[in-house]
Amino acid sequence: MKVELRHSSSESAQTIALERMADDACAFEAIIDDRLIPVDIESNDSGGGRMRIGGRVHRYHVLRRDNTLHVWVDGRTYQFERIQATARRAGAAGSAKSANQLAAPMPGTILKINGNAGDAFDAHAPIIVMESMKMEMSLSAPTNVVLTSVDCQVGQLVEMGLVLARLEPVADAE
Amino acid sequence: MFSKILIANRGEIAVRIMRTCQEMGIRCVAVYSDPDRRGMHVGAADEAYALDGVTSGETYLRQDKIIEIAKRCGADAIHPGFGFLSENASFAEACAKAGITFIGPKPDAIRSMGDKIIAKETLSKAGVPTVPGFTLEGDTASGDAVIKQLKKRCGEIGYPVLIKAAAGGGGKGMRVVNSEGEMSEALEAAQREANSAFGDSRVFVEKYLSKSRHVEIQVFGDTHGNVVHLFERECSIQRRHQKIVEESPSIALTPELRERMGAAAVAAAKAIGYVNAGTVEFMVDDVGEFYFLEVNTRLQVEHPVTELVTRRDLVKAQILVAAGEPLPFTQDDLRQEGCAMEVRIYAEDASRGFLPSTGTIGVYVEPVGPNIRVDSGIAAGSDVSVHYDPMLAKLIVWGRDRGEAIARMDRALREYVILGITTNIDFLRAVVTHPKHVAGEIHTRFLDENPIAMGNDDVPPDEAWIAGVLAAQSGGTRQTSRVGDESVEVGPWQTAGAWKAY
Repeated sequence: MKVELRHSSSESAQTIALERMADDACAFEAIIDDRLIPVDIESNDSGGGRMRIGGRVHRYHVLRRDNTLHVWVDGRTYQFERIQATARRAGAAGSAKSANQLAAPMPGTILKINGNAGDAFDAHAPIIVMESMKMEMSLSAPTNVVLTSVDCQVGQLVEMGLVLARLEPVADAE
Repeated sequence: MFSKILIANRGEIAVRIMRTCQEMGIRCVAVYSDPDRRGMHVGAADEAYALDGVTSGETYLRQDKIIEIAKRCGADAIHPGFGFLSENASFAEACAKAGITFIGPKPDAIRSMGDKIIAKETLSKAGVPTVPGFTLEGDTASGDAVIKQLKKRCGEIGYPVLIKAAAGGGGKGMRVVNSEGEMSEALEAAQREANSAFGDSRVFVEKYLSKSRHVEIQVFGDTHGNVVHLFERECSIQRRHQKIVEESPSIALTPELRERMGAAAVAAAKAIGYVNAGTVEFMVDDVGEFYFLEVNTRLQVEHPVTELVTRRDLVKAQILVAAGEPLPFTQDDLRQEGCAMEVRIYAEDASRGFLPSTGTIGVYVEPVGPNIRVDSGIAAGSDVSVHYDPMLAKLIVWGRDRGEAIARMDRALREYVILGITTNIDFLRAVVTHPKHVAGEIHTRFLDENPIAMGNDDVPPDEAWIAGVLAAQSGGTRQTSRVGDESVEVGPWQTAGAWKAY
């Protein structure tokens, strides 16, 4: 089978082909970047196992959550996204946002909102204070901004990624 | 001796306390919130009862509900663990009133030491050296007049200063102030956090000893007048005043300094008639002077470090002492052998500013081998919710010496698998193996001065891409929990379907 993956933190992408050899339950051939890599894979019943590539043994564990793939190999964790034809188109359109809004970086409770729509904030000034797991954190203005709308309330429990406020950057006076 | 103990806590500490109860032939009772209905501590108990509610305030902090359950199920004692009601004097009193033994110090000691301001005054009078500082007048000090007063007095003792919650603990309600300009915001944040965590917004100010070490002494008293210390733990590696790595012995202590600090801690405990387990925290500066910080009137998160170097079960000693028995050891019985080190596994993303990470754990494999201990409150299928502390587990190792302990910790962290949520395991490995940490050049600002670059920005190796394909092929709902090579119990709510490559 052939899969296209994107590694989340390095943003590198690869198409990997992995085929089982006909004569052996453990023997596979992977093709990464036009390189043919023979690999022996022994999986156990619990989503992990070991693979051997040219004599080197690697231990692994995997977990899939929809298109998000969590991988542990030899003590390091990696997160991949599976790129599918439909997702590829949607991804390009979805990324050009976020500069004009304040989104919750984690799930939590809104503790404080330092102003109303129309108020101006200097760069780095805290606009919203939220709490998660009993720790506080401030969401600050990315640049000099005017608050165009507040979309949350003090005391509200918010999910990660929820837009809490909308902003409009203000051009520098100079 | 008690026949049944209710553990008024959750997660790894509840599980750890239950282990000792079961070894002592004492039945243990779990209480749980709605999100913890399938929690590890519920499965580890002999009996479990619902607290009906979601937040800490609705559940683990509800004295009335907990005491009611204890009475109903016939528990003769309550162990509070740490956090929640562990340092709540009125809860200890309410237990006594209900005829239930509170496993911990007397309410008076909790109250006086829980108020960091009174604690400092008390120990100062007992001759223990303290950090220069002052207290803000008024209960919920705010407003321009207070800020003005604050700035004037901080100017006198010199920046940086530390604002601390009078009721504080666990780094909550604590803010470093480097200059006058940061004062208003830091004060407000500290008060708000203190109020949210402890329901008490009073704060005080101390000179911030920036390059010092955090060294604490474990003390233990019984109702027969015996007080001993179980040596030190060094907890200098902290982030936002939360301890991340703890060890014993501290390489900063000479035998002579250890003796002096131990004696000061025992004197402090005796001055307040201390009974049960407690910890006297000190800062140790670069010339070997030590200053009292606070007394923690409970079992500490990092108590396993002491258990491994002394080979004593502190929870067992707590239970014996609470039952009125003398301490199971004298000062002369106690030895500090080898080196123990602990790291705290948190659900947080070090590459994204340590944001808490929530979700369901999919794969969970603990490290195994000689001299490795895992105190965990999670398994595959566990939900890590936004409602409670992000600490998931503690990994503790023992080595003949510090070098062996570090090598073992590195290996154990490399074996520790948690998939489904982001944890600080990679970060901990980077800290523990940092050349300056290995050399023992540590202090409370270690992480500020030695920023650990996290990000994993390198292109993954071939084996990771191949595992990625295996992941893409796998079922999306499977949960796996393993300790080393042995599968452990997987709850009935999980679909434990096996999967093989092709």
